[in-house]
Amino acid sequence: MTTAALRIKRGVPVSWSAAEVLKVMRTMQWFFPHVLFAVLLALVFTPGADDSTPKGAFLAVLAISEAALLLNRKSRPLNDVMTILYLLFIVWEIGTTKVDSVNLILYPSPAKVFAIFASDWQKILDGIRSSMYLLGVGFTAALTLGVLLGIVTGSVARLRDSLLPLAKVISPIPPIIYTPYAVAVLPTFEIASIFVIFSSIFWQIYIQVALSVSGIDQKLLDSAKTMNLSATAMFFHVLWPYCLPNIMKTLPLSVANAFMVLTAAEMIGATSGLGYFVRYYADFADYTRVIAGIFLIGIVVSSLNYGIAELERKVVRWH
Amino acid sequence: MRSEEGKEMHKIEISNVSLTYDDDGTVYNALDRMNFSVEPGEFVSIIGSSGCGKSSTLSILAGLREPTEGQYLIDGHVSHGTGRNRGVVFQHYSLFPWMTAEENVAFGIRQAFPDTTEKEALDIARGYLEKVGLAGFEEKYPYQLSGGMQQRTAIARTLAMQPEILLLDEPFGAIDARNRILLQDLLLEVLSKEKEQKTIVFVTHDIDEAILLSDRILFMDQKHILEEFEVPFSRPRNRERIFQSQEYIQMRQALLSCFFRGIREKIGGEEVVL
Repeated sequence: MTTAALRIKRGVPVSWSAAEVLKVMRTMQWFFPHVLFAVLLALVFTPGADDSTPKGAFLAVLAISEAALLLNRKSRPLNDVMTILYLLFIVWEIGTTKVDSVNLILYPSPAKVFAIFASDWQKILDGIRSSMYLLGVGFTAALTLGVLLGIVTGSVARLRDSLLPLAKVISPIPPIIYTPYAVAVLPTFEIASIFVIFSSIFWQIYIQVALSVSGIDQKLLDSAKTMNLSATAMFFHVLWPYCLPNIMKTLPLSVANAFMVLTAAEMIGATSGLGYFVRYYADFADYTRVIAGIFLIGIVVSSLNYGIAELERKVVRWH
Repeated sequence: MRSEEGKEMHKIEISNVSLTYDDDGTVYNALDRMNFSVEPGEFVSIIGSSGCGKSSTLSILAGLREPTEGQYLIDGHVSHGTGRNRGVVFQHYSLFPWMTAEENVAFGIRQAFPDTTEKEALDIARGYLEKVGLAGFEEKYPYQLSGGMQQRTAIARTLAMQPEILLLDEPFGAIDARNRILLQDLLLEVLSKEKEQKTIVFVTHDIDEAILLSDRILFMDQKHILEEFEVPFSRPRNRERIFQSQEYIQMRQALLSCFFRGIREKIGGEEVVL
C-alpha cells in the first residue's frame, strides 16, 4: 500500500514529504503572479496617501502586463519575470502610498509616475522624435562609414597594420568626455550631438569589421578568387555578408552606448529629447517626471534592441 | 586542339616550377623544380601523402600562387593569376554560407556570364543542382546540407561556370566512404554529359579514386613528380569490373610501393612491415 493511501485511511495527512511540498509549489508557481496581481489591484483601490492622482494609467499598465501573461501562459520565463515585477510594484505601491511620512515628491507613487505618460504624451512623443532623429543620423553615418572603412582596412594588410593600432588607442576614450568640447566647438548643438553619437559607435563597428575581415577563412577567399569575382561582388557578396552576423551582434551594445552619449549630450545643450526631458524636470525637482523619463528611456532602448534582434533573425538566416 | 563543339581545350604545362614560402623569415620550400604536363581533354590525378606539395601544385594551377621559379603555361602562354578558363573545387568551405544552394550556383553563373539575368541564372542553377542529384534542396543553406551535398553543390557551381580546365583539390577528402563512391560515380557521369571534354587535374591521396577516375596518375613526393602511370582502362568505366581486373591489382601494387618507398626513406631505410 502506498503512503498516500495510508494517509487517506488515517484521515488527515500528518506529514508531507519534501517531494510533495515541491510538487505543490511547482503547481502553485503558475498561480503566483495572478495572486500578486489581485493583491496589487486591491492595494490600488485601498485608500492611502495618494488618492488624488488618477489611477487609470497605472491600471492600464497592470492590465497590459496581466494580458501579456495570460496570452503566454506556458512561458516560464515570463511567469517568473512578472512575479518579480508584480512584487516590485507591490513594494513600490505600499512604500509610497500605504506608509505614512514618505516624501511623495522624492518618492512618487506608481500611479503618479504612470499618469505622466498619459498627461505628457505629446511632450514625450516630441522627445522621442528628436532623440531618434539625432540617433538615426549619427547611427546611419557611423554604420555606413564603419563598415565601408572597416572592410577596406581589414582586407589591405598595410592599412590594417597602421590604422588598427591607431583606432585601438582612440576608441577606448569615452565620447562623453569630449561631449562638452564638441558642443562648444561645433556650430549647432544638433551637429555636435550627431558627431558625438557617431564617434561613440563608429570605432566599435570599424574595429569589429576590420578584425572580422582580416580573420576571414583563407579557403573562402581562395574560393572567391578562383571565381574571378569583381571588386564590387567581392565587397557586397562576400565581405559584407561575412561581417553581417558580427555587426548584428555588436549593434545592441552600440545602441546602448549611443543612447548613453545622446542623453548625456542632451543634458548639456538640447531643447528637446529624452535626456533633455529628464534634465529639465530634475532642475524643477519634479522627480515624478524624472522617473517617468528614466522609464521611458528604458522602454525606448529595449524596443530598439528588440527591433535589432528581429532584424537579425530576418537578415541573418544562414545559421 | 578543339572539341566537337568548337570550344577550346587547353594544355597545361608546369616547367621547372619551384615554390618557396617566406613565413616571417623562415623560408619553406613547398615545390622543387617540378615538371609535368596535362594534354588537352586529359584527366590527370596527382597523388601523394600529405605535405608532399599536391595542394601547392593545385594552388599554382588555380592561379592563387605564382611560382617562385619556373613557368606555368596554358597552351604555351605563361599564365598569371586566376582566370575564367579554370574552375576549382576545394575540399572545404568553398560555398558561401549566406547563399542557398541555388543562390551559390546562380552567383557563380552571374560572375562567369555577367549578361545573364538573376532569373535565368537561378533557372540554370536549378538545372545543374538536379544534375548532381540535389533536386528539392535548392533553397537550403550550406549549414542545412551534409558534407556530401555541399560538395555536390560546389561541383554544380563550378560546372555551371563552364570552365575548360577543372581543378579538384581532394574534393571528396572529407566525405564518408559510401558517399565518396556515390560522388565519384556522379562526377564521372556528370563529366561524360558535359558538352565539351574538360582538361582536369584531380588531387587526392586515395589510390582507388585516382585509378578509377583518371587517364594518368602522377605520383608526387619530395616536392616534385616522382613517377607517372598510364591508367589502362577505357571509358565509360565500371567500378566492379576495374577492381577485379589484373591490371588494377598491378597498378595499385605499384602505387602502394611508391608510397612505401617514401615512408622507408623517411624512417631511415628500415623495411616497413605492415
